[in-house]
Amino acid sequence: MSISSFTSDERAFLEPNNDIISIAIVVIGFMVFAAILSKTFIAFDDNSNALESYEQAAMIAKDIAAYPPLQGSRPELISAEALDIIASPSAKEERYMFFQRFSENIDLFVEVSTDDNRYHWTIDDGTGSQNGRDIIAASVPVVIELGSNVRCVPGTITVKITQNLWN
Amino acid sequence: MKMKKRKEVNVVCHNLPDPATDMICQLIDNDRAWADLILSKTALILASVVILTAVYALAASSSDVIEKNELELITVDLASHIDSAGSIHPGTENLTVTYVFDTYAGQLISHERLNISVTGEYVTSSFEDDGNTICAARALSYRTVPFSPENLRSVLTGKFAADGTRDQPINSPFPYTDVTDLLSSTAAEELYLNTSRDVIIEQASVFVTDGSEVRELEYILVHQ
Repeated sequence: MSISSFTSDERAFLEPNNDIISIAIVVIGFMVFAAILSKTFIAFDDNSNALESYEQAAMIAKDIAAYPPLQGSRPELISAEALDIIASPSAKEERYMFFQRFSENIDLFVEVSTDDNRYHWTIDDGTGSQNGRDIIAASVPVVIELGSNVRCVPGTITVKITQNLWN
Repeated sequence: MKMKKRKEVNVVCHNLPDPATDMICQLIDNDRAWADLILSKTALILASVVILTAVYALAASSSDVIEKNELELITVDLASHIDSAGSIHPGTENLTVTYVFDTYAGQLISHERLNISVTGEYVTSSFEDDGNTICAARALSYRTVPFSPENLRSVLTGKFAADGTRDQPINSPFPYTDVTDLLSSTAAEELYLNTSRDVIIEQASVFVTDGSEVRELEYILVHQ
């Protein structure tokens, strides 16, 4: 079937139904437009939610990096000794005071590690289970003081917030 | 073939004197395609009405979305101010932040229609729009009590006979659940904020002692 046989065809069998075809094209176009619009909006909503939760985690991470009981000999240092105490299973009271300031709605735990991975601490209030729930994490770089202020190593504080089931 | 058939119909029609049958025959006989035109144009009009309604509904719902976004923005702004007051480590003296509601021109939601409330766990705002209530809520990161300092101290004094200041710590065994439970249950009541007045956000410490040592529980107070 060549194109000339199509253009020179004058039987006009589509002619009476022209409006149906044009309406069909408009409807399909409109549906595609609405679908793209709603998809973009859903993606935007998801992203802004994730960003908001990340900002919350980042704020808490900064707060913990400046928490006075964890400070070493200088305010910008994190004391490994204080971390040992607060992460040990017997220090219930210290951990309670550490998590007391945060709202009861937030399930969070904190991981501190040196960048060479030789030392690792987890501070967990032991209430939340992380099974199958989304976790939002934010990290801040800190300097960890091992023993004395002569031995300082770079490290990170990571705050992980377990998303509530209704989020 | 067609012409022949039509002639036969004509013959049949002309033989019948009944006016109703005559009309039907005229309709059948008519080949000017009026019915075809009317039907297809009606369908066309209906279809365009449906599409135009859909476009209009989409535009209307987008203005709803914009209003909802603005409401969320107001809520998030207040919640983040309360949170940032909590994230400051005060040292010895407590910190006070004053929050003023933003009233810039061109806002869709006027502040008179806005209901903002703070509880110990959430900042909630809502407003009525043509009978529909649109609302937004944000959870707070720090322990918050919607009280003024005097109110907080009087609640604590009423229950424990000590106001929880450094000089008068409350006697409570670890993990101080009687103090925290009392404050979280009283903080569950909503404090409705007046948007034309400043909101005062400040840190407060409640000192507790189990006999041997004094501990400091940190709270954020929100009041007007």
